[in-house]
Amino acid sequence: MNWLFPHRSLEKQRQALLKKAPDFVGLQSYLRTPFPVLRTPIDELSYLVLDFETTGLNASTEAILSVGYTVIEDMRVKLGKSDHHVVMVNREIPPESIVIHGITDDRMQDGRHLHDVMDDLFAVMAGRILLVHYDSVEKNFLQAYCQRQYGFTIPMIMLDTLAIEQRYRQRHGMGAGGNQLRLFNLRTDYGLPRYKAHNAMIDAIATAELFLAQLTNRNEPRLKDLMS
Amino acid sequence: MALEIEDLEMRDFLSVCPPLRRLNDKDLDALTLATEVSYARRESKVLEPDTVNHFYYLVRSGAVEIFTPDGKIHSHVCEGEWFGYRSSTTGGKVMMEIKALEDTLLYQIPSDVMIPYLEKYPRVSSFFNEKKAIRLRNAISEKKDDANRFGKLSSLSIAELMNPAVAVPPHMAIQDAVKIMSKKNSSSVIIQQKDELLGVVTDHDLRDRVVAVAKNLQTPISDIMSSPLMTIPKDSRICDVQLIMVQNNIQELPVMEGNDLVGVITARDLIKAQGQNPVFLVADIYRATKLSKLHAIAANVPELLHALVNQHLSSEEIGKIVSSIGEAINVRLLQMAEMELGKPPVPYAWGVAGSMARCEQIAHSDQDNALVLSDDFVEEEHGDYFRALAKYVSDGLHACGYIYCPGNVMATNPEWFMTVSQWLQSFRTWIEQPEPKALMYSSIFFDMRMIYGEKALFDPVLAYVREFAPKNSIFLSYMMANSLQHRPPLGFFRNFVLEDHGDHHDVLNLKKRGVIPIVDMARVCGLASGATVVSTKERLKQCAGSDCISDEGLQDLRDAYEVINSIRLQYQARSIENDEEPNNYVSPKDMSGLERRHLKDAFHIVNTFQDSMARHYHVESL
Repeated sequence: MNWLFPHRSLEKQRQALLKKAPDFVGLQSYLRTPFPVLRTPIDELSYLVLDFETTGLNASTEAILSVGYTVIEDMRVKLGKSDHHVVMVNREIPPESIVIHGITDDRMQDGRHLHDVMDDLFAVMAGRILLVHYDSVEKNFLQAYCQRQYGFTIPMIMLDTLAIEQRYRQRHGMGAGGNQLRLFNLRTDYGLPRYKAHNAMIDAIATAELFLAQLTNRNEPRLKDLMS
Repeated sequence: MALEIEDLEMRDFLSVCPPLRRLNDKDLDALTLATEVSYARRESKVLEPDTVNHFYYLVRSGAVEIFTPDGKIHSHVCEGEWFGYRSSTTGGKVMMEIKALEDTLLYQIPSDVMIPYLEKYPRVSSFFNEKKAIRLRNAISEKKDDANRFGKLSSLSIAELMNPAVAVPPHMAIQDAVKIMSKKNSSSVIIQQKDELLGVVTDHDLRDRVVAVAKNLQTPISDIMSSPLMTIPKDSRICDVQLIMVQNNIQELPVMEGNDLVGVITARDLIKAQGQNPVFLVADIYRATKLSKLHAIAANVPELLHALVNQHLSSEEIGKIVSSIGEAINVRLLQMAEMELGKPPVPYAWGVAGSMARCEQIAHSDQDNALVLSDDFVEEEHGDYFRALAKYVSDGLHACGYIYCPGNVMATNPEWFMTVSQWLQSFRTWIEQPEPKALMYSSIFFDMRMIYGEKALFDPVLAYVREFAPKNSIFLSYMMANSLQHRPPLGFFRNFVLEDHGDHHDVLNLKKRGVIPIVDMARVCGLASGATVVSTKERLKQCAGSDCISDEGLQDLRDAYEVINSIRLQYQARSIENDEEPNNYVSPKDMSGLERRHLKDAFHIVNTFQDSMARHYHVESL
């Protein structure tokens, strides 16, 4: 990415891929929509807040088990635009990960095919800023999927609430151990309620709320201020 | 797999928040999906006056503070509570500033989504009603609905419980009348001449007035009847039947439809319907001959209170019943004292003050009483008799749980042991020279009600009060100023009682801060309108049409009174259930969201009234 003109670079990449990938229905809808200008005030943007549950951390060997997301518009989390999809995976789910995400083999058999889930996801990603907590999971699994499926990675603007917090703390000389930056610990710091359930959609909503709390506590009015 | 709304914790939260728990699953799903979540940083403004708002706001976590246009704290809204609905239902214009008191997570429901549910669910609509008074009225009518559904007493009609009446002409011989009674298996017979009901004879009367005295069975039945006869219209409520029986110590009531006798209802019929029955308690009181027996009966009062609360009777009805029991014990003690001491040497009347006088007693409380003696009273000749009588009754009441009055407002105190002329003089002094001590006595003795003896002895005093109290505006102003000493709190915040300067307390005395302010205002309004009735609701009714309160305002205040008292009763009933001594304290941490809200509305109404009363009676100028 061209860091002096990041927006120009993203747009160039998007248009090139649009020509290259005419047959991929889901991806097409994503690539057809221009990226928002980075000078845009943060409260005018639309965000897709995303969370994946996976069988492990390595994107090249492990699988996506479920996809959950919600949308922020006008600085409000729109519960009605949230969704949750369990993916049918052709492998056994390691018992230790069931403890975390609660997706059992039985439940997975009722899930959808990964391609259908991803096609739907690309459609809602269109024109939106992606937002996750700790981007190495979602970013890597998304790109790994694209690489496998289409033979290329895709341009995207992805914000990370963990990175936003980390930068803020560093700038203000505050230390932050690994545990302190976990989603649920950060939420407590911002006075947000504790959620009992743990699935991809609840985590996406939890991340969205954390993001709103971070923004009202910062003076970073434009999108570019939030990007790494 | 699409979105599983039932998995959303946000839905769980909405589903327990009043009034949304009224919604069916489908509607709750739809509302959850329309919900938008926002975050307000501590001290940031959520809504500003003169802006437009199209959302119903629900606090998910944190708290906000609402300010009146002149910058005073109006209220605090915390987790599970709503704000912004006033502006969003009335065209959107925001009137009050709302600021986050803490970092706050808010659920916002767009008004165009919410409004169809207001139309579909009247209870949701009444919850968000802009007028607190209307919300309270709805709460009271909901309670009545519950009473109809759950309260056995209220759900049955007289027609379902009554038995056919057995009526005979007055000249019929006792023996023939009894034959008819026994054939019809009836415990009573009504004496009727043409359309006129003359009296009643019960099984008890046959025992006491016939068998016990070996009366000739050929005597006309009218010789032994009790008369005159109280009756009740067929369309009355069962709890009215119970109240008449308790207040008059009778166990049988002929039921009338217009001028026709259509049946008889007995205390035994009520028992079948409810179990616990105050009518029998009163009957037992009048049959008691020993103090120990009275004491044992009085011990049932808490249990009775508990049963009455669970029957969803109104606090007014419960107050009347519980006061009648206390009154019966008091009267019985006087009768027992007379049996022991002999007939009174000069006429006297026994008066009670306080909640019993106002028929608003709900649990055992202290005793407030006084003696009114005929002007023929001569200290040297009669003093000892009445002192002994007062002591007998006062000690007896104390033993039955009506403890000695800490302020010594008792007939045993020489100050409250006076002849009619002396009482008249005292009342005159209180009205004409309203000093602090006089005002304290006024608030006690202007509630005084004669319950036994030559009750008419007190009539000249009542006549004086009726005539002169309304004319003496200085007296009334002082009384009003005095009654404004206790003010209700602003509301609640978390587990605290919120005071108007932002102070917090963790318990609330509902009697002192909620009930007494209304009782005191009602007393002044009653005196000003020349009424000598003493119950708070009656006093407020008497003020209708006067210039100090609008009729609608009176209704609001009566509703506030009912709501505060009924919540107080709920808590007392709960204490009784847990074998604890019932008291007047409630802790916000034990209250449900709805109770807090109803109390807050009621307090607001009381506060508004106190302000307008202060203006009307020029309290500032004193």
